[in-house]
Amino acid sequence: MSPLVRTLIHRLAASLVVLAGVSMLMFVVARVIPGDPARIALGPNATEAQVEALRRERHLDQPIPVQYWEYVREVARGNLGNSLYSNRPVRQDIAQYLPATLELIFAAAAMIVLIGIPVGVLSARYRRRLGDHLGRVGSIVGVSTPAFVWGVILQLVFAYFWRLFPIEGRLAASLPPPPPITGFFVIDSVLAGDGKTLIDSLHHLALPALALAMAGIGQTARLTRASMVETYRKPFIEMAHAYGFREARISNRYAFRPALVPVLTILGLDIAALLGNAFLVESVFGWPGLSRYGVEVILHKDLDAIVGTVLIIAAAFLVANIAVDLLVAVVNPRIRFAGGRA
Amino acid sequence: MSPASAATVNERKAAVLAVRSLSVTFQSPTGPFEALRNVTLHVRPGEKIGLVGESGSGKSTIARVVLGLLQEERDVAVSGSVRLGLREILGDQSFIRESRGDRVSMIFQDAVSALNPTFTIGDQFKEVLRRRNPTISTAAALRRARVALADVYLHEPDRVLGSYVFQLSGGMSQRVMIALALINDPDLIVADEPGSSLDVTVQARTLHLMNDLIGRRRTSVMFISHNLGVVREFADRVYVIYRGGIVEHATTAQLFADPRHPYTRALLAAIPRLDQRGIPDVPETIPGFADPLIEHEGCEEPSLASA
Amino acid sequence: MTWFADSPGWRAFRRDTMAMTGLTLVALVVLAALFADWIAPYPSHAGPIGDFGAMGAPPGGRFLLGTDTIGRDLLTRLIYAYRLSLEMAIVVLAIATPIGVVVGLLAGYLGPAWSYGLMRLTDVFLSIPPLVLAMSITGFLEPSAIHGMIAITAMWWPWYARLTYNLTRAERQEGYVVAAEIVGASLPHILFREILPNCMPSILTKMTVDVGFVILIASSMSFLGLGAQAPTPDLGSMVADGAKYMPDAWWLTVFPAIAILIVVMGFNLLGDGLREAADVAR
Repeated sequence: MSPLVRTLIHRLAASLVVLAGVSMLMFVVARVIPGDPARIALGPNATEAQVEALRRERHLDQPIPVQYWEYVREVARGNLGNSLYSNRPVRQDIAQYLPATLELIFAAAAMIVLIGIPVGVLSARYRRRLGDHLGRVGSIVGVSTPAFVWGVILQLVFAYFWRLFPIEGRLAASLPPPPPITGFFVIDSVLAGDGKTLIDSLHHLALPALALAMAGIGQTARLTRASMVETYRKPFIEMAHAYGFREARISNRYAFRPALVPVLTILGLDIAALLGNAFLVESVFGWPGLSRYGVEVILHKDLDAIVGTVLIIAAAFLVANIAVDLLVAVVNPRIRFAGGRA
Repeated sequence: MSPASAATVNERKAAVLAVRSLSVTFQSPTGPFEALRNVTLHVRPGEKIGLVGESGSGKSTIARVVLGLLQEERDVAVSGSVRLGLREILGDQSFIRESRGDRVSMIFQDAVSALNPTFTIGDQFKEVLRRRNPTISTAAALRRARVALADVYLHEPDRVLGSYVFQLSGGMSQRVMIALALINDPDLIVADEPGSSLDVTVQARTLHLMNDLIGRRRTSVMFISHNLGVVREFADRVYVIYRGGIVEHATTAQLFADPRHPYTRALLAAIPRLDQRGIPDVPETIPGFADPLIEHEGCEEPSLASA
Repeated sequence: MTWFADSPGWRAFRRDTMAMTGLTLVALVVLAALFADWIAPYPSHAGPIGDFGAMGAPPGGRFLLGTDTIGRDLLTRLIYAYRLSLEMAIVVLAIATPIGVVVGLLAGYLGPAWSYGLMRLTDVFLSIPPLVLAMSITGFLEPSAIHGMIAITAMWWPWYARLTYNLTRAERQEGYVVAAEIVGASLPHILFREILPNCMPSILTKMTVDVGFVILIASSMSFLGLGAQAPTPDLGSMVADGAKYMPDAWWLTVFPAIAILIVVMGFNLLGDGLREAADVAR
């Protein structure tokens, strides 16, 4: 078995343990809060008999370990419970809202990588010049500004004042959504060969994705710069200079690849921020994703839906981190050959 | 091969390297620091010179000026003259930029950290070969690399070429480094404490190997070392450097038979301590250390008058 | 304080423009919050009632930054919002840091069983994106500033646990720890008197930066309606309320947004500067 596969299996197993921990944590928190979950769920107007029936149906009259066991059995069967807010299975709600959120997050992640890393590389290459100073100030501002502030500012400037982008939504009201295959409008409209929908969905995606990406762009640029500066001090870069490798080749290849390793490792944390900040950005831009659903169910104290949403987000985060680990292994041969983490 | 015969053969040819009145001053936040003071030295074709001094004496600064690396940094003032063949390299970086990795190459002290950890050895050979021939094909590059690796007695060249540096031993990495330094057949190699990070026996074997290869090709070498034993064995001529200035210049035989400068004598008298990889234990300072340069007979640069 | 004024760390800090900018911003915010009752032009506007004669006044004139839809002075409300933000950040860090530090010290110093158990627990918390965890905890309670603080504390301590764990692992092999073990010092003595003081510089630096990030998270939550409730002046909810009146009453959104940027960036720059000054001093 190749070390890479071994690492992958090891990481998957560890993730399952953590996910079990997350479900337990959420479950315990949801059950120890003051108040009777069944009463909260049904509202003050329900009769005592109705409350009692729900209590029995959800095993709420049993001790917490038993309740948890029942819950896990249901989850294993793919049943996340029912949402009291939407009156539908939580699984169905998540399936409906998740693709929009993922599309937003993928777009933001792409922006982080495609803008943040080059800015950091150039900043390091031209360090202590004007561009570098501007880049560093920009990075600090990016990191220090919450995603919702980016959202309202970008919306105010580019949608309200200059009218370059739509104010909210995923698609113009006049356009029907593309036939759902992946749930990503951008991909689905390509699959359907519908150029007009593709352009409109990209147009709607641009501002929210940028608002979501800004903090990550700043963070990544800062880290890439620091990592590149650190790498430039390494003997192998002095060797590259001594052997006359061209400056651009050193910065884009010889220093870049080793410097990328810590940057990619931290990308995992950026993804956590993206999953959290999606809540804010979706709220600003009326993006019909999981996060807006999450806020609604939180405000409605819809316990099963809250736990289900958190579980899905934690799972998405763990999957993303495994993907990042694999990416690190591809870039860093030391891990590829040794297995395990450097 | 005696240094005198080398000098006769090459008398009419220009020195491969001629450094004259080189001074280097670093600007630091705490004020200027003079790293080199009025350094003059030369290397003739096929000659091996040693540059001996303690760490911090300025040996490596000379190497970095010769390769044109220091001149590209900020806050450094370099004055004097450095000629590579007939070309002056101070003041105009274009020639040295072209020459690096081609006419001039360098062997680093610690090959393990001087080779890039994220590229295979084969990739790094290809990159160096492209310095001389930018259009060389991958296949041709690897063919050349295989021959070069066989020259340094690495027996599984294909495995080495497909490896990353952390998959090789320290001694193997140092051999790869030597092969890289020689592959473009340079006129001059700067060897900065080669192999001093290896253990003593491996270092000795590596140095002999390097010496053989260089001797066969008649490549000129500037050997930088703090280890007098190494210099005695491998250099034709020696410059002793103390705090940024050359204090004594002699053929190897002259220097070890008749050390004249107080600092050289202190260096030779100090017992190299094995546990410190041969770094001599020299007293902090003695008034005589600051005495002017002592140059032994017959060591002057032959073309100095006509240049 | 002369030793401090002359220390190399402080000299490096003073030369660092970014760090000094951070210090200035932080000083401004902290002073404004401390002396809000004297500085704020209309202290009564921190409550629900404003000046009905001046509803939605644009910036300038009597109201430097304008007024909101019920005539409350924006500058006043921002100053009081800073006070709430700083209070929240201080409370959160005052609770989360000791918890995290104790967990980290124990996990780092005690045997592998302890460290495995405690660090896996930490991993569980860290595997939920921070904002999501804080929001879901608030979801089980009622949205309010207090519950927001509880939720943020619950998501914050694991970061200190991880930091202290790594520091402790590095320190436990040091001579002074081994010496204390040999003379039979008690566990609390070794943890809190020997190891902890050596971890403090890193912890304090992280706390400085974190003041800004706690404010950022708290404002994010209140932006979603999961934090402080009206009429308490709060940075996040002010942005959310202002966004309803875009683009005409732009100042209702833009000034609170800039206020958040100022405080978060100030603590960020200050923390970075402290870290670098500490490196210089060492």
